[in-house]
Amino acid sequence: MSAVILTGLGSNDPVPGNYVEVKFAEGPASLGEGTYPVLFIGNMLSSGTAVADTAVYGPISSPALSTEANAISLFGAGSELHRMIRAYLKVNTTTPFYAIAVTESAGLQATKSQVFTTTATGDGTYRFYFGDEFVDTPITTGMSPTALGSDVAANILSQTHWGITAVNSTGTLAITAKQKGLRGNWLRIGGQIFGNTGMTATNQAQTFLSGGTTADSNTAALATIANTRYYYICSAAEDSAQFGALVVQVNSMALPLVGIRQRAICGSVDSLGNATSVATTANNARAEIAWLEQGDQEPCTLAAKVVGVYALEEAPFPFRTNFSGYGNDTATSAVWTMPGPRSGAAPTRANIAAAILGGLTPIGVTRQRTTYIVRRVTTKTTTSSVTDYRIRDAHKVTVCDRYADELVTKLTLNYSGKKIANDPPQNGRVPGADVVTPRVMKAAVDQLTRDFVNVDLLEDADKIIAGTLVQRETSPNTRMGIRVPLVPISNLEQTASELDQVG
Amino acid sequence: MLRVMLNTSVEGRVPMVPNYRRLLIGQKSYLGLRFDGSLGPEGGWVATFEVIDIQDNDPHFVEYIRHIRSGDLLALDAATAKKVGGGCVPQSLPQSTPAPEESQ
Repeated sequence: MSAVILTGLGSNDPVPGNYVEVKFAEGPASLGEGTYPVLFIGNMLSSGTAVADTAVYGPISSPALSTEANAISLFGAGSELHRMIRAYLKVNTTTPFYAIAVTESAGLQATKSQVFTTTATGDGTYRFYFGDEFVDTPITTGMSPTALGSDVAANILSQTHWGITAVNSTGTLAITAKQKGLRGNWLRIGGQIFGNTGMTATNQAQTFLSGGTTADSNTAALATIANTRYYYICSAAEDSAQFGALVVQVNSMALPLVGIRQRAICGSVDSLGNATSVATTANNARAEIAWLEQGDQEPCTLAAKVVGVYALEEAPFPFRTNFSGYGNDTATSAVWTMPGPRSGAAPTRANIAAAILGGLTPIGVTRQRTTYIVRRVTTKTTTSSVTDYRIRDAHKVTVCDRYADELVTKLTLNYSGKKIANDPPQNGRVPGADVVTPRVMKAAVDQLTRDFVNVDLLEDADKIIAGTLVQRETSPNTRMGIRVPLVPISNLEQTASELDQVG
Repeated sequence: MLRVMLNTSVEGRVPMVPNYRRLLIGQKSYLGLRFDGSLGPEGGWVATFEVIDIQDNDPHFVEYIRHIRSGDLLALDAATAKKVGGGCVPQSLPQSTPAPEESQ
């Protein structure tokens, strides 16, 4: 047996006494102690004080980022990052978040004209929509288009978190995206006149801004965040090039030598065909795309909301695994409050099925125009040219990541600084406490497996434990090799009931 | 009948319109795209630029109309454009018109 050594009490200490040392945090590491923060990647405005591409802002940065006010100060009111963080904070105020600004596109801002005609012959209201929000402007008898345009412009500008500006010129509003670049073309506006005012307004249906040009580039920002772990990385960019670059980096960082396991998530309000194309290109278990065709939200705010929900629900241990129908019941609809498309569009069942099979997480729309997550899936659908849905369910990635994190914690806390030896033969000398053998380590791994089974994150404990291999490698013989055949729990996705009327 | 073609006119975007009938029985198949296993480690999809006819009794006729409206598919004739409530009809049309099942 190894000696009991108290701090400062040498073996040659001559002074009699009853010496006691209390050591804290000496037991096996408990589960679920890790943190899984969120990182937002998007554009900022020149009115913000942040440094683009090279600085990450978060709870302990200087200046700090932990509130919407911080986001406004750092990235500018109505910037892409401000809107993402605002959307995130509406569903999640507990998970720490970080943000890095990508240098804005050098291209043009997207624009749209909003035209009012005819002097009002009655009282009413004009409702202007930006995305899924709106602002009302009173119309009074005798009001000219110029006067209405002026009031509407003022009301739009008062919504400082919106991503657009408005300038009135004799009843024609020039609506302009605050941020330059292609993603401005995802901004939607619309409007509606209530009452018999006699006035007319264009863009009654939700209409995209247009004319935004030139993609930005997340290359520099990705270099900055390499080697730092955030877990949920929420990308404003939803195109194959930029989201693809993020996915490639996340995938390479997750390899064992770096060991930074993270997830990349973006949103899409594009057509099913285009969204499927991006998902097919990503084709990665660590990449997810939330999709709501014709959604009034921007892709970046849709992604931020989805990430907020995932981070919120996966924070406790054990965590939520099943997001199917999230937002469609009393408990979750209080968190998930995103309205469906104003156009009334809703994906059909076949659309939803195709989306899931294509690697998209579809957002469903109810008859009441509320929305919900249909089923959370990864973009991984193909392996070596063959259709492969083994890691379609995104919670299985979470379970495996958490198991990996807990295993690393356990191994680090319990075995750092130890020696390695082979298992002793029967009746052979048992090595001391400072020596780790395969049998000792397998017991620890099996205990972790049982812990995960006991909280219903894994199933088939016996199968996993029987298949778990822990061995001292022969080259190098200083390495313990561990292989665990994890079986993450499955979610209940369907029931099938046949009801036979027999009488 | 809808006469359509995959809309590959937007640079950098090749929409993947499901062949619903096949996809829903487990066969990955997209209109106007052919899988090429030689394209990278996971293979890739290549546009065939073919004309596709979708019959009125296709169980996913509604979905295909929506794909035309969203710009994934181009309506190739006036009758198709009328059925979807407008839509783009290209000036020059491809000559070949494969049978629907072959085209998908």
